[in-house]
Amino acid sequence: MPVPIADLMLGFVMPAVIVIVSGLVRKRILAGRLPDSVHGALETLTVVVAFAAGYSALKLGPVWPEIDRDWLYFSAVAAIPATLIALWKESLVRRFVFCVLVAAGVIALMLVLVPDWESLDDRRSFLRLTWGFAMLASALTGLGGKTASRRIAQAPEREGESDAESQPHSATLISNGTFVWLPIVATAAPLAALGGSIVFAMITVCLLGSLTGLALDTVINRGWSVKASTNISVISAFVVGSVMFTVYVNTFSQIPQTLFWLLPLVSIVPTIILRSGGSTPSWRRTLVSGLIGCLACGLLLGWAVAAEWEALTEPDLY
Amino acid sequence: MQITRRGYWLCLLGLTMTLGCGVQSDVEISGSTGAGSSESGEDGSADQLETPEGGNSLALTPDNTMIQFVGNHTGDDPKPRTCTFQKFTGKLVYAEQLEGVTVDIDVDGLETEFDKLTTHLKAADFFDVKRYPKAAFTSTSVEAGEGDAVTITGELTMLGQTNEISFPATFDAQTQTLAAEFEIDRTKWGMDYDTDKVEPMVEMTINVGG
Repeated sequence: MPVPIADLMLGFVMPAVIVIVSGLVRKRILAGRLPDSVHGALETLTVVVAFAAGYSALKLGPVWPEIDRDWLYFSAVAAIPATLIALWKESLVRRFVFCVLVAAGVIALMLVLVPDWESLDDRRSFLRLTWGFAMLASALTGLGGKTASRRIAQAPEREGESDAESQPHSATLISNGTFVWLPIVATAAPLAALGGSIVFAMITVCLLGSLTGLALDTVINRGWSVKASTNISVISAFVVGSVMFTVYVNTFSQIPQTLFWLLPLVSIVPTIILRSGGSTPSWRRTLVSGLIGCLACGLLLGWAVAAEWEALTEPDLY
Repeated sequence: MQITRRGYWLCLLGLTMTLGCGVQSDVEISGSTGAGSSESGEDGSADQLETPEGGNSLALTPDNTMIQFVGNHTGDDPKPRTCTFQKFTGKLVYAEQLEGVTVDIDVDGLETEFDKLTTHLKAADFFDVKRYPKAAFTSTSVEAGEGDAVTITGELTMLGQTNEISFPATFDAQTQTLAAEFEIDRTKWGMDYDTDKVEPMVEMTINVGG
């Protein structure tokens, strides 16, 4: 069933506009009045608010959760504590607290998202373990987020412009996680739709709009300050992981259910490529990591389309 | 430090692949529809419908009964989509007139002419079959009208919600046939997906023995 233009405007364009406008206000009007850490925190909250605005405008669920999938709305909220902690001065303690908060968010989501159906009684713990792991592993890719801010601070001392992280735009896009997560979130929406639910697909579209706005905000504001950016890996991992899990337990499609589990984990591969090597990532390394991430997402989506091909090619679909 | 960090990520990837095999195994176990917790009332409500003294009962099965609904898109091109329930049990009791009817529906058995539409109807957007695998109708009263006309009133339970409905029908005790056509508002049972694109009113058709 095709999505109406009005729904796309509310679910994608509106969140993007909210993030862009918020970024313009902060960077043009509040630039010198707030410390970088506050700007970063506001950026985090803006992404969540934009997501929530799209969710509410489309009436994708009740304000207060009544059943398990109603908690999808709070998956972004659950990511806020861990994301804000990441703005503190980098240290082992900060990283430890970050991991603890991410784990706490994952545990909370796994407690509320798994339905209480009798059919799941014999595998409820297994689902919580496997899906919790997927969410935790993909959320922890945000640990590398502040590395770029440290490197960009050293940029004047480096020669040449061969490093992707010597450029404010690319440095910020890598640092704040949009470079890694945009393809994944963009894949989650059609995957949820193929799984049989337009509602779950639109929830992902709301996040996609927010992240697209964040990426555009970075371009518009010429990268601005990497130190003032936040890392949206935790938010993205929680939302994508939660939506994919909900599609997984509800689907009647022919799509191999492992695909839903693998999608958030795609974030690990480009993160490894970007962060390995011990030097600032070159343009080549950055390009390779992006291409591999997109390729992995494309493979998963193609696999899903192939599984549903017969249904998709029915005449006069819907 | 870099080696430790790389090793961490590679271990994470290895553990991921190992668990991925476990998730695939989980798929093999759960290949069929789960009989999720049902809030739609007790199963086997047909057993609660008593045959009146001197009366008769007729078992309702997909062999002798058709339960169908048609949904329409909004706008100038309604593109009606017909869906039938293929798995249900029921009972119809009558003497000279219809006395009562009850049906228990396994919603997973719904079918349409489009596989994709069938999948979407079963999903959380519409019938949410994994959460509410059963639907049921139990009549509470039957009013006789002129000739074979009757008005059946009863409780329809879908998506865990029960609402009273009343609809006209014709029943012929001689031929054991029942025919009914009526509309219901799906949103009253919580099925409120995209009422701007899909009409909230659904046309129901029930034929027994026809």
